[in-house]
Amino acid sequence: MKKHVFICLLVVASQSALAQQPLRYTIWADGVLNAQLPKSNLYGLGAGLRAEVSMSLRSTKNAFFTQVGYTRFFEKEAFTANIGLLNVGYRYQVGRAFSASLGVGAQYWRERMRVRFPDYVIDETFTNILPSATVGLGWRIKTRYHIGLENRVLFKPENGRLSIRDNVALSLGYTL
Amino acid sequence: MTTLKTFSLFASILVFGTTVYSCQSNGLEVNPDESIGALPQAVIDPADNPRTPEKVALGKALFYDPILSGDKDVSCATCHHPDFGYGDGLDLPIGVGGEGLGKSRRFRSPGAVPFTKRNTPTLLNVAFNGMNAHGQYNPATAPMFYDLRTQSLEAQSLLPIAAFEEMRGHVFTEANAIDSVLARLRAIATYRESFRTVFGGNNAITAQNLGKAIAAFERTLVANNAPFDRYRRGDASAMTEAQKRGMVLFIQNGCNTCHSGPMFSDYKAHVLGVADNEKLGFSDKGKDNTYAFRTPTLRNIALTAPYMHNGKQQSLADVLTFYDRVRDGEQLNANVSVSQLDSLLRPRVTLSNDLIEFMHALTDNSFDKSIPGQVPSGLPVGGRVQ
Ligand code: HEC
Ligand code: HEC
Repeated sequence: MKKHVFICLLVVASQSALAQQPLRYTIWADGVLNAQLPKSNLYGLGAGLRAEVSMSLRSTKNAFFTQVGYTRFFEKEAFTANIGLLNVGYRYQVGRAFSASLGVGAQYWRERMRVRFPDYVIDETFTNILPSATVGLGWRIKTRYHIGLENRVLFKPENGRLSIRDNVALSLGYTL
Repeated sequence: MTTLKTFSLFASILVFGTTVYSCQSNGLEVNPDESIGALPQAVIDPADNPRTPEKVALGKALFYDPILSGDKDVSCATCHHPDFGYGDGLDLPIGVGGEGLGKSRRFRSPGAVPFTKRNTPTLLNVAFNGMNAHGQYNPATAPMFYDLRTQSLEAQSLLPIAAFEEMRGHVFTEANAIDSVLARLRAIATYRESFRTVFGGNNAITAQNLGKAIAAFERTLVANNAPFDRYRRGDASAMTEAQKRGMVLFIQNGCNTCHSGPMFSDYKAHVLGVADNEKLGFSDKGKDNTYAFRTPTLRNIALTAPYMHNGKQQSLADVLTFYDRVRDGEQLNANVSVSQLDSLLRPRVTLSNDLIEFMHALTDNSFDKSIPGQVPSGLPVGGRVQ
């Protein structure tokens, strides 16, 4: 519940901050990889879409952004995941084409596990909200196209241990 | 221009959506012979050894009574102790000439008697030995030992008594060990009485009946209500999410090709190339000198460290590291080349907390841990375990 409140606050805060400046809208298409594949066999590849609203802060080098999106991890024998994500962050334009970004947010994971025993099928869904942190690099091509590479770290407290999920997204963006 | 762009944008979103939606999971399929289910609630007895409360009580007394050992210092419970999940907590067991329990057990005069050559297996659920993936088993032919050299608990029970380093020691010869022990039992009134009540007749103290009584007790050492059992019987909340993910990893890694069925064992011998324990001073060649060892049960595995027949893996994480090293092609036993290893070994990703969590879900700590206050011989209960 606390997490929900936190997310709402972030959205409201970002909306009010953005209201004063011209906004830019960008659509991202993501290819997502489970960076822990050598350590966890459950997920491999995914794909996603994000909608971003960003606003320059004072100098045009700095921007503040909010993203909402959807990701799906494709079947890896037993598991699929549908993910809703929210990410707010800060982007710094290093050169003409190059930028770096930092973000925090949360992802809602709805995971489906299916195991078919000869006499019995296990079909379960796990839902979790995982806090996340992102670090990204971006390249701008012409004015409207972008390529992004982002590392998404997710935190999942479990059995007194903090387990971490690490996903990497390679993205193509288009600013409307 | 803008309408075209907007149109193509929405079109691609639509294409993306349908592609993603069509990638539905069919689920991980488990082969019938590699299936794993809950343990049954009841135990089957062999036709010629039905269980009665008196027989179980007699078997329990014998199990804890060091009168069965040459020097009257070792009982079955010395190595199969309830505090250690009916194992002993040691890498290699210390039978004859030892004192203490668990990690503090040692030889009184080191070097006089050798270590017993293999890690002590748990006796919990040994009643189900031989169970196949469909839950069927025959207690009269149930396989015993790492090298499958004996069938049935009745037959097994007499062997430690005659084994030099386990119980016999220097007092008897292998040939006269059982008869000598029977003579001792006949000299104790309580045993005469109990054997007569349980088996009938005045000559009830026989090797066969000794085996039957101990076996009847062992069939009560059941732990069949682990979180995994409750989960498979329909209680979805019995296992944690991590344990469920671990179950998937267990199947994905092919662990269930050997650790199959409700007992998590196929009761077959496989060559894994586990190293020898250097304390032994010789190489343990396993079944028929092939370096194959029987798949142990993973039931109650959390209680029975250390692991493997050499007892050298201290934790479940160590066992998984072992499987990772096998995957990486390492030769771990100088006498077993990598090409000899069992072809069913195909671990991919093993050292994972989820997999360890899953193995913890196979543990049921609610089994009978009671130790009798005294045994009919009047000797210290369990042997020299103080
Ligand atoms: C010195 C320690 C020691 C003592 C004492 C001992 N055992 Fe064991 N037991 C072992 C070891 C070690 C094994 C495994 C040997 C092998 O596989 O080659 C074993 C195996 C067994 C098994 C087979 C379990 C399986 O799943 O294969 C049974 C049953 C058993 N013991 C019962 C008994 C009984 C009954 C007694 C008393 C009469 C007894 N043991 C005394 C150490 C001991
Ligand atoms: C080829 C058959 C086979 C496969 C596949 C296999 N095991 Fe084993 N497992 C064995 C055998 C045989 C032993 C005993 C080896 C020995 O002691 O020499 C064993 C021992 C163990 C033990 C120690 C048990 C004890 O009481 O000492 C654990 C834990 C274990 N395996 C877990 C796993 C896991 C987890 C996997 C999947 C990554 C796996 N096994 C895959 C056959 C197999």
